[in-house]
Amino acid sequence: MIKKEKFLPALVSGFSLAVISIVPIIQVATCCLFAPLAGMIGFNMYYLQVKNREGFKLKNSDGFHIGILIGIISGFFESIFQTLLIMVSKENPVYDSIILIQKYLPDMYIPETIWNISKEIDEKRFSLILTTTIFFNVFIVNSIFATIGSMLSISSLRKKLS
Amino acid sequence: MKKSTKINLIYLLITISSFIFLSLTFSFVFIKDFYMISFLKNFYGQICHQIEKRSFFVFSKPMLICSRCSGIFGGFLTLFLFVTFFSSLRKWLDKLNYKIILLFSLPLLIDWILNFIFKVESTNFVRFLTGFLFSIIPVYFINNLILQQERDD
Repeated sequence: MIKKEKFLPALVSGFSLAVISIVPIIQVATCCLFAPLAGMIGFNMYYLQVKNREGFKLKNSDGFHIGILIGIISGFFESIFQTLLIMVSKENPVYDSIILIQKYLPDMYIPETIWNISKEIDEKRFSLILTTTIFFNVFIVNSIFATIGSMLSISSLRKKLS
Repeated sequence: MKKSTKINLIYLLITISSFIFLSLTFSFVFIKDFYMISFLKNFYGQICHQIEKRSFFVFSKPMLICSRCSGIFGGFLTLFLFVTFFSSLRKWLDKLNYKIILLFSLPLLIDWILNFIFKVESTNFVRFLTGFLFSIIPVYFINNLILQQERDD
């Protein structure tokens, strides 16, 4: 069961992960270490809260819960941040993506739907499809990597304690 | 199901997953569907900066992850493959002190500090190599997790 003790560390690290993910320079610097690091920090925060409780035992499932929670929370916040960034900027990530793919795969057929999304962003600076896609994309990736991070944290804590 | 079979299956599953994960970084070479390629590009874009200059090229097409990430994930797959097929390696690896294992992150950290703080550009091969050494750390801890699960069962 997801308890408050798990939700708060996941909220802090998930939110931080979402904030850091939209800062370009930091993103280039830390590359693939973001989400696992958030998972590790999240689990350590949880561990610090509950380690003195009677009968507490490190369980793999706790790491799994925290990892998934971080994925959901960071997905939620990052999709909002990215949407806001698109609204206030002149950038069109869908168009940039089309250009990049065409650079390496010039013969590829670009579906009409994609051009429509790109047009919608140019005109309204918002696309519900894009926001939803960002949410699911971030949720899937961060859930996997934050879970790996929190699992690594469990393993290292066990090593330390033994 | 026998306990040892279950554990071997977990190792095999992780190896296959990391093989698929690494194979898909070559998507520009073999995928011809726009939706698929843009999904994968965004997927890997979430975990890597995907700077072309810092990525390896296969058939003049960039990999979807940078050379450092290629080292980390490639190293993970290679080492996990060994651990999967040579079970004696699992216990040997688990007996090593975790502080010694953490030292394997030093080359990556030094390379990163030189690159990012002191602006000394290293080559993609160096980035790959330091990433490869770093990959011992996740393999060590994941191996420990699985063995711990086996002991708990």
